[in-house]
Order: sequence, then structure tokens, then C-alpha cells
Amino acid sequence: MTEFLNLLAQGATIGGLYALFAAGLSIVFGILRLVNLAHGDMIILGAFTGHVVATAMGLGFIPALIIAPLLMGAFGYALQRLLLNRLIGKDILPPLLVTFGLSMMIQNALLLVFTADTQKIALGGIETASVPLLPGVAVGSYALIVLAVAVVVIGGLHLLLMRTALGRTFRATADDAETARQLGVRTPHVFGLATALALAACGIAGVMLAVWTSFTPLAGSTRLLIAFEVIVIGGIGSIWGTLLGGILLGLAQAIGGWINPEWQMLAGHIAFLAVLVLMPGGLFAQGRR
Amino acid sequence: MSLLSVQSLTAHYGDMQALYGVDFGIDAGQVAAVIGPNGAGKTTLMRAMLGAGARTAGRIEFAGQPILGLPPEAIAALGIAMVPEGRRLFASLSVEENLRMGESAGRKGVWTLARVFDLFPILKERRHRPATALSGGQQQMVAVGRALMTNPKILLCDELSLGLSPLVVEDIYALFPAILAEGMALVIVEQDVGRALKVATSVTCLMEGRVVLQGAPGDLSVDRIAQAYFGAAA
Repeated sequence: MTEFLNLLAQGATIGGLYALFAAGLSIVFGILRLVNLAHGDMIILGAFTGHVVATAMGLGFIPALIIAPLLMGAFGYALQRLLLNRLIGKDILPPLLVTFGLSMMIQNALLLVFTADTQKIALGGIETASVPLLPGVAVGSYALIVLAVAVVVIGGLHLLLMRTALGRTFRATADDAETARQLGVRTPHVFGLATALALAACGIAGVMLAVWTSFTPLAGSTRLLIAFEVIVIGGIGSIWGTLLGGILLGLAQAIGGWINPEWQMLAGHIAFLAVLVLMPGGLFAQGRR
Repeated sequence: MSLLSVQSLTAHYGDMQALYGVDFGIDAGQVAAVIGPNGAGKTTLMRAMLGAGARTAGRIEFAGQPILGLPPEAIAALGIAMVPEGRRLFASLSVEENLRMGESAGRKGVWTLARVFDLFPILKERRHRPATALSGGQQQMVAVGRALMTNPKILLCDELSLGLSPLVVEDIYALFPAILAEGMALVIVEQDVGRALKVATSVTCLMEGRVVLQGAPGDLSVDRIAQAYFGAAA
């Protein structure tokens, strides 16, 4: 029994990491209606950026967690203004092709600069420490930190979207960009800010990932898959659904792994398929058009 | 010099020409009605003034500045706003949030949220409701209020009365004096010719992308308008 509870605790806390993976994808899809196939690679780019700041420059984890999102955000704004804005609202295919190309370019650029060696940010023992919940049941301290960061990021995004003028502009532009422009919204700039926000979230996700596990320049595609599964389970456009979708995916994997260690990833995919078949809008879908 | 003048405006949708050299002008405090049958080019003319829609050529000057070719957000910032046909409210925004989107134009003026709520008290009551949960007439009030919130010099109203009950239309037209009192100019596209003639200071009748009749409503008899509509050339 305690073994099972331990697995559930692990599953629930890894959900925080999964929610962080999905946050940026959810923003870009929700506001720009653009499917970013380079999303996983952008998380890994964030991880490498964090690694350079924390390890190569020797500044440590906290500065990495601040600087990586800022750099990624600036990169996101430039990318949107210079490249992705040309693709918005035309056809579904060009964004897919261009972001797939971006994915290749980011992977190969990272390989060129950092080689295929695995990297990791060390955090002086916190990664391996754990916190007891019940007698015999414990969760990793770092997993709890990640879950807390995920709650703060998702909560912050929720407040930004629902309570600020910028969030209102994001939602209006997502509803009807043409009408928004006619009211004076500078949509190219707004799209730039949305992608900046999404890539800043990728920066945070990447730094948290870099401590959680080792990574290589090619580690993005599995994160992209997880991010897609999380937003489909949680419901597209639902920001809190992202967090709950992440936790559900983590729990499904934990239960699958408890039945048979080989079934861990499979169980996550089965949970995703079950939601897709039974509730195509996701578990927390909002009543949007 | 007019506040807004349109000269020899042509517009194309792909290979199809929608406007053939249209001239049009309006001054502050005036109400210009654009009438004509469906497909005459009324909405195309309005959207051209906003920098949206068809491929256009010719000249549009607003307060002495050429605006043809400017993006819609720049034209909104200069002071032209539209109440679009079908209202086009933002579905995931509340009534108040829809109104506040008018602030995006960055124009300060007399039209604030409080002022719009004075004009439409019912909207104040329902400010936190989703805009699309309101009745058709109330949604039209949100669309008018949202455009007013940009503090435009010219307000374009496309088919205000479409799909609304006559009583509600009466209510909305009753607001025109309050809006005009602020020195705004109004351009209205209206199917209901009788109503258009009643409020307008000038009338432009479009047929198949051309101006067939233009003048003050007093100078235009119903006969001449009917003739313009049904083919004077015949």
C-alpha cells in the first residue's frame, strides 16, 4: 500500500513539471491559434540557457531561473515579429512546416554548440532529498519545489489573462483579431508579447527540467508530446486545466508503472487517448466557440 | 476642406471590382447616410475608410492626411471607429471588458466607461456578464459603446438596425443627438431608407459600386431615390 501511495505522490508531483512543459504551448495555441512544433526544443533551449548561466557562468540556480526566461522571452518576441507573424491566420500548414523547420534548426544548433553530451544543473543535494508525508510515504523535495513553481506560473498566467489590460487584449485578439485591430490593437506587437510570454514559460520549464533530469539537444520531442497530451487532457484554452492535465498524466503514468514498470509511458498515452475519445474538448474545456 | 474625403476610390476583391471611382465626404457634426441595395458597395466603402477589407486605390484623406494604405490600428488611433455589421463582440470578454477594448486606440476624450454607462444604464447593470449573453439590442449597445470608447472623430455604423426590433432601433437612433453633440461625425449605412433620410445631413446612394445620387435629403425626393434604386437609365 505504501508503495502505491508513494507512486501516486510521485505521479502527482511530476504533474507540476508536465504542466510547466505545457504552459507555453497552451499560450501560443490559445492566443495565436498557432501549433508550435518547436515547443519541445524551445524547452530544451531554455534548459541549455539555464545551464550556461548556472554552471558555465557559475551564477547558480536562482539567477538561471530568472535570466533564462528573460532571454527566452526576448527571443520569442523577435521570433514572432520577424518570422511567425508572417504565417498567422493564413493556413494551418505553413506554421506547422515553419515550426518543424525551427525544431530542426534549434536541435542542430544546440548539437553544434553543446555536442550530444548529456547535461544537468546540480543543485547541491536538494534533488535527492525528500519530504515525508505519511509513515513510509515521501515525495522528493525538488518535485515539491517544481510543483510549487508550476502553481505560481499557472496562477500568474491566469491573473495576467483575466485581470490585466494585456490579458484582456490577448483574449480579444484570440476571439477576433480583425475587430481588435479596428479598435486600435497593434496585433503584431500583441502576438510578439504572447510568444515572449510562452517562451519565458519554456525558459522556466527548461531550467526546472535541467535539475530534474539530465538532457541532450535531442530531448525536446518527448517534451512536446507530453505538452500536447497535457493540454488535450486539461482542455485547450483552460489555463488551470493545464495544471490538472499535467497531474492526471503524471498519475496515469505512475499507476501504469505500478502495474508494470514498462507500462509507465504507455499508460500516459492511454489516458490521453481515453480523454480524446470520451471528452474531445478536454476535462476542463471552457465553453468557447 | 472636409474632415474626411474620399476621391476616386476603387476597390477589388480578387478579380471582382466592388467600387468604381467613388467620391464621398463628411464634416464634423454631420450625419452622412450611405444607402443602396445589397451588393452596392456600402460596406466596402466603410471598410476602406478603416483600412480593412478589399484591395483599394484612389485617395482617402482624413483631417488632411492621406490614410489609404495605413493599417487599421493606425487609422483607429487617428480617430475613425466602426460599429461593424453583426456587432462582432468579443465572445470570451465581459460587457465591461468589451467596452474597455476601445481604449486600445489610445485616444483620450469625453467617452469614458462611466460616460458610456450613463448612456446605456442597462450595460452598467450587466457589466460583468459575458457580452454574448445579452439580448440583441443590448449587444448593439455594447458595440456602439465600444466604438465610442475609442473617442473617434468619425463613427461608422454598419447596419445598426439589422436584426433588431423596431423599438430597440428607435432607442439606438435616439442616442444620435447625444453623440453628435460631442462634435463627432457619423456615417451610417442603412437598409431603411426612410430612417436614413430622417437623421442624415447628406445622402449618398450607391448602385453597383458607383455613386448614382448624392445630396442633402431635402433636395432628394423619394421619387429620385426610387429612380436611382430601380434604374433611372431604364
